Amino acid sequence: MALDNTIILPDNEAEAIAVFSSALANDKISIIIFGDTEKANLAAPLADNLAKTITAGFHRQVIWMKNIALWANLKSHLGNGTLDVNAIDPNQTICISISLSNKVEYALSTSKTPDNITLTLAFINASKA
Amino acid sequence: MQRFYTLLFISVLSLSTCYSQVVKIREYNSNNELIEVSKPYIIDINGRLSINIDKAILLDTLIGSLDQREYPSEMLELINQALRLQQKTLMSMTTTGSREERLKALDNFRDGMAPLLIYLVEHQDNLAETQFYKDLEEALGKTDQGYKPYFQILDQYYEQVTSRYTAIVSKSSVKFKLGGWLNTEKGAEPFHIEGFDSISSKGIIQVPRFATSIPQSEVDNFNEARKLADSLQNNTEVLIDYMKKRASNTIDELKTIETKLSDILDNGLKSFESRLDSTSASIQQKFRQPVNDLKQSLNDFRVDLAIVKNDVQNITLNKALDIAIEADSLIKDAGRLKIEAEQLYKMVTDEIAAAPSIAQKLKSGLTSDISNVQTQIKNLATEYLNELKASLAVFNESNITELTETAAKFTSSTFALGYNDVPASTILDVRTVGQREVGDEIYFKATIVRDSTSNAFDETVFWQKYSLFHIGLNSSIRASLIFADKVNGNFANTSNDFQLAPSYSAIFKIGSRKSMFYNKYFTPGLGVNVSTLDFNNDNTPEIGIGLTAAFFKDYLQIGYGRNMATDDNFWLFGLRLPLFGWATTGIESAPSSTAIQSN
Repeated sequence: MALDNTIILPDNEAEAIAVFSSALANDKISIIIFGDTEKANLAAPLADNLAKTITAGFHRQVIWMKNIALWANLKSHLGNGTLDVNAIDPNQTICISISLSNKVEYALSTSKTPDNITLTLAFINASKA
Repeated sequence: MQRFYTLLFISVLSLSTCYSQVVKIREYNSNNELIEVSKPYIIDINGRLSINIDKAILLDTLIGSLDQREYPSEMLELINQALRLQQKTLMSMTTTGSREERLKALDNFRDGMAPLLIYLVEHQDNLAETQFYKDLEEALGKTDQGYKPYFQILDQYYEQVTSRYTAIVSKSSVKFKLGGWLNTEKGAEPFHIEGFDSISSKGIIQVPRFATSIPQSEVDNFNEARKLADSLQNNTEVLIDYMKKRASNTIDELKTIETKLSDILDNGLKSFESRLDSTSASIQQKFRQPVNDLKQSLNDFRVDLAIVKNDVQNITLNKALDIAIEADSLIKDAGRLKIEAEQLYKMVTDEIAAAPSIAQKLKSGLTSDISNVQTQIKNLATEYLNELKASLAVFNESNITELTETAAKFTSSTFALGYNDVPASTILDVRTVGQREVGDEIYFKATIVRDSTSNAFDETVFWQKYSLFHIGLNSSIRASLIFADKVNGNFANTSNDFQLAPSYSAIFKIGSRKSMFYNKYFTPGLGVNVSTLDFNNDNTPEIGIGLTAAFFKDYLQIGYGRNMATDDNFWLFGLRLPLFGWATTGIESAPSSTAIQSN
């Protein structure tokens, strides 16, 4: 199934940094999905579908970080919003919401089941300046 | 739909979430338009209120009070709220225009969508298998139709639940009560609200907006002023000594505040600065300016405080007004200091969170230093404000005891109404609540009650106080003792610079909806002063007419007038009586400070 609104980060760190930086710079409402787990694979296509919605002229995107080892370096590109970026554990998180100013606003725990309701909430929490 | 049962205590908790929404009270303004009444909840003493009961929220609340229900009333209320905001939410999605406009639309979108979704995600374990949740989840996936399917599901579901439960609620023993109380110095008395009780109306009692005659109390004060003027005419120092004694407590407090300020500057901030010197150049650069700004603000505050202290120590009659204005300026300074200290504290904690690990070793020291400084400044500002309020208490004549929710008891005349019998709205003429004065209060309380041997409860769903003042232009007539200072030349047969005289002032003010401090304490006004003077000291009264500005419930006045008999202009400084409880006559020396403070 094609994920038209999803950017899958490469495993190579240098390439991932470049792709990640570029994704953050394109002024879209973003969520980042962590890992290659069952829940992540369930979340990705649902989130990709929800990313078709345009709100007040702002587009959405999904960034899929299948290799969570990349998080240690990539997180420095993000700022503290409602949540502290250093407090995010990708092993315990299905996805996080990133605001238009690249701040972490919400985290969906792995204790939840990813579905259209939880992922819509993730996009809604990312829908801020 | 799968049924599940919720414990009664959850329903009781849920009631508290709609505490202030079941009853909505608005006021008719002078143009007969309905306006919202927000903090500090000031309404016109002769006004009219529109009281609306939101039957939809009331139904949610009553459903929540039943032992068994399809879904928690909290969720029902969130669905209700989402449906109310539906149009605004959908419109926000299609907003175009500047980036700023579109960002604001995102906020509206979030406000409309987030609350219910947060609830659903939080309770996903319980709700995921319900048909409602499944239908909603599927609707959200229909992204080609936007969020319309989502709202359609909400609408259908809400309609089904409320239709099913309306009949049950109507037959249930759960009832709604609404009552009102007028709270004065004499205590609280219930008043009639049409449709909600059978309390006898007290009739229409208008509180005059404009004084058209001199109240007897002011006639008495005028006579006191005349006697004081006669007895103090050659001995104005007595009054100044009295005022200095009164101010001595204030001076001690101001000295304490000065000491604490010095401690913050010399110890707290210095420690922070020296610790800052140990950090990296980039961190130092970031914090140097905010710390210097804070130091400057603290020093400015210290300078202003010293001026006030000096003026109070060397108080003279014509400085009293300056002191009042300086004190007001210090209040604003204290408020700004608190904000600056909080901002600096936030900067430090944010920076520490993002600092590289090498700076982490300084983390606890820096944070605790600035936390101490912030706490000290906050305590100082609060202490100063409390001291000022205590000093100003003399200007607040009201001795009303606040009415608590538990003390507000419904009478047997208050109706316990079933859902279908609750009126959707009613009008209250404030003039019918009883004999009242400016500064009195009215309270409203609404409860859900069930009088049952096995499941009795009595839960408050609305509790609000409103303060009564004249809004807009109003006037009063006050007696005062003025100190007249001739503009040109001296008074005949005396070396005094001032002449004391009794007077009346007709003061016009504009009451505020926005500020309790303004209405209760500051109360600025402009008016006309008429005094009985004797500039040529021949014991023949001369009439003086002047313009006056009044402050602090007319206790302080300053103005300019003309002696109509001698054609002399004069400055006037006035003090309203009774001042600090000093209403005795024939005084030749000031009472002791102990006696004064006990008044």
